Amino acid sequence: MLRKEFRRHSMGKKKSVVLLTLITIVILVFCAISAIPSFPLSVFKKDSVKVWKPATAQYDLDADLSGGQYTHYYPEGVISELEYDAVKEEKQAKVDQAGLTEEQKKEYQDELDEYVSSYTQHKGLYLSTDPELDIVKFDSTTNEYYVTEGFKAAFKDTANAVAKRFEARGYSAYRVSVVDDYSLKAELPASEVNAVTVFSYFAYTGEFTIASDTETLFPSKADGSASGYFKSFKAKVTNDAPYIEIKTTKKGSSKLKELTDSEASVLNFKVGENVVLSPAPAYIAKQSDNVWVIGMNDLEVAKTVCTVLSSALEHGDTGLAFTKVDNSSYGVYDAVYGSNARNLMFIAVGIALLLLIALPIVKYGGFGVAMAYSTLTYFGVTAFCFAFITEKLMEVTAGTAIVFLLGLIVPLLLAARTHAYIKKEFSLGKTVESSVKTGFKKTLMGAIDVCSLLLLGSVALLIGAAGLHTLAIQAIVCVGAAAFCSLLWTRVINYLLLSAAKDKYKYFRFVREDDDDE
Amino acid sequence: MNKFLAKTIGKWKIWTAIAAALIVAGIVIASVFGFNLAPTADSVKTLTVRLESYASSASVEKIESITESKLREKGLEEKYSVDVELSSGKVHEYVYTFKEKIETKVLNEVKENVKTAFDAEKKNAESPLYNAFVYVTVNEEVMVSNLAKGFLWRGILAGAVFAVAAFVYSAIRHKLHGGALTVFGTVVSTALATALVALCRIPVTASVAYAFAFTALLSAALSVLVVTSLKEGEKADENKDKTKEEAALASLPVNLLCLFVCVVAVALALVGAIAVTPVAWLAVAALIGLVATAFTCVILLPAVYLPVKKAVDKKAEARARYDYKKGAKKANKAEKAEKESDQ
Repeated sequence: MLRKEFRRHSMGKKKSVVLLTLITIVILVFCAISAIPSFPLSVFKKDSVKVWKPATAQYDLDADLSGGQYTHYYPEGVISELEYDAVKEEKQAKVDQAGLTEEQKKEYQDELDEYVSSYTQHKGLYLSTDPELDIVKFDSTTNEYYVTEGFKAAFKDTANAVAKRFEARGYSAYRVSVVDDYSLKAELPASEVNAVTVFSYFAYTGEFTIASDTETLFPSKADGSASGYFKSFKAKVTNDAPYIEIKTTKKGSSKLKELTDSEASVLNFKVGENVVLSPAPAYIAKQSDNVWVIGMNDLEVAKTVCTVLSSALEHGDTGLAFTKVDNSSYGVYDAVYGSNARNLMFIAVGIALLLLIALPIVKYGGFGVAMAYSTLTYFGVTAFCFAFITEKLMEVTAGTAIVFLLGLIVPLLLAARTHAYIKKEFSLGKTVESSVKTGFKKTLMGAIDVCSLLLLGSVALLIGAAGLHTLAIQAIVCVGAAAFCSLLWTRVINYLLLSAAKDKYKYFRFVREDDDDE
Repeated sequence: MNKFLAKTIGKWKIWTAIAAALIVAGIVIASVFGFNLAPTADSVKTLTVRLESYASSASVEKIESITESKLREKGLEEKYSVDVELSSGKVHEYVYTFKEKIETKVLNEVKENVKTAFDAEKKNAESPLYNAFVYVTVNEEVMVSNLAKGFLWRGILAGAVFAVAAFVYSAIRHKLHGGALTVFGTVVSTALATALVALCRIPVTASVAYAFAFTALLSAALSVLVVTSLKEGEKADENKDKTKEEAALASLPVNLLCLFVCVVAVALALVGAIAVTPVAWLAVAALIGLVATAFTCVILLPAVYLPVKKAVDKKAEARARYDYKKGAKKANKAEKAEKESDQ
């Protein structure tokens, strides 16, 4: 209907101008909501403590752009050189303090000597010489301590199990490294709100067990290994309600039935000595023969719990425990160039955006204005979708900027191609209206081809894991917006602008033949 | 540009050989030396300075100046690529990360020098570090994991699924050879980009996969556009009297593609120049992908299109010779078209 209207050019200039004004206002409002930088609202209202935040400030950013969080995992009996030096300095200060009696001085000196002799240095770490821990042994021939094979093997297995937990959790950016052979360092993006939970849960090592408050209920000696009873733990959501799905074997299902029917007030799902989940038996429901479910409050926590339980099931007791990781043992670091990283990124994309608005106007005149409208619409739509629709699904990475640019430039390419066709048709002696109609018609299938292939590619990328999966969602948003702009929006805006234009030749920067003659 | 293309369009063997040689060289380099992993994705050595006291701007400056002067003394001022400040509640840490292979012995000497300098400052009542708790350590970090489970194989599977989908779609729209050429353009561009990243020793993190995904998407879009234009060029009335090479040249939107590539390059360069280091390397990788795509779509694909089309036409002609029904239909069609044009 709308197309027919345009075709007959029944839409008057006034109508076009009114419609264009309305569209301009809507686009500008969208862009303003997306891009006006943060400022305190006390500028408008004196007492207000609220701060205006644009849509682009709502994004979760990855470690490159927003920095990250880290923690160190030290096996029991292993400490860092920094910690060793701090304690040693403290003990030395005690020895050096003025006004001590000889006895006190000797006592403090003995304390210091004992501390010094209870550790041996290995690179940037200090390893306990306590024979009970069996980390190092003294070699009387070389007069040096050496690390026992048992500790080496246990650390290797445990490091492998912990690294696999981070792999399985599917972070788009993380890093696990072995520091000085016998400690681990784990890093996560700053946007991971449950980092403390993840860091502390992933440090748990040992067998998977189920216990009441007083005793271990499963596995007993007769039961054997837990892996014969439980197949997997998965975090799922139904109707916005997260839950853990436990798949068991047949005997696992009957064991779980037995446990839920027991008199225990709570069933503690433990990894080593640490409780990771403690539902009351009534909250463990049987879904089908070998599938049980436990309701959870938070999906992210459920995923972390499932990862730890599955890992304990797979790796069992690796023979090594880490010292407790809590709020005080993790740190945060800024993005590589500080807190400005995100702003720098937005400035770069902003300049590119301005360039891509200005360039078509300079090159194509009135038709370039239609392209600029399309570009601004694309920006508004994607900025909104990223901030509000896909907000919980993804974090903005450097890849987002590239996919955003791809989606931004494709409509411009297709519009430029259309302009070339319109020009070609006009050069054959057709009227402007006819040239526009034929130009758009001839380029339609090519535009559909490009948009379809981009959409197919974006959907195929959904198969990718972690960051690639996130990129795929972003690409679908960008390509969808680009397709809308290329196939529909640029045409609508062009018809409106053309209807409102005083001189249709000037609009396209075409020269009439009679003008040439003059 | 068209003059240059006129020289390149018939020489598909040369361009295919160049593309193949680059891809093979990339594979060889990648398999012998691996990719050049960026510091965040590789194993590194670090020098950490921890301040366990209130961090005033004066004490922070002092720590920085002492540490950096000691690093300079050992000629390491250009060697630490990342200088990260870390803090967690009570402590304030500086981690100097060294990407290049530096002997631990040298770093330990720096550590001892820094420690001695700090000890002197701790005793100096006028120093901002007077009585401060400052500790120094050297560590070796060996990266064991930074890719999510299945990241690589699922990425490759996604690429393969995309290639099949692109082939099916393009084959439906532009016949089998059109589909094959679209996939050829996509695969060659992505492979070239990967090979060039390996050859140019671009620092690689997991996010370089984004640059390859960008290349695959971009090259698929441009390849199908080139195939569409070449196909349209064959049918266009104004190209009827031209040779196949001339028709292909006339139909290719070369200027448009070049303008498009330049604009994307400027946008990527902007992102790379203004944004942070890891993003800059990602922008460089994407820029390489763009160059590979431009080469494939502007030079290689049109050059390959002509012999492929020739072979397809020859086959169709041979088939028509023995397929009397099809041959007759074709002859009828041609006759009809001739009559219409006469009228």
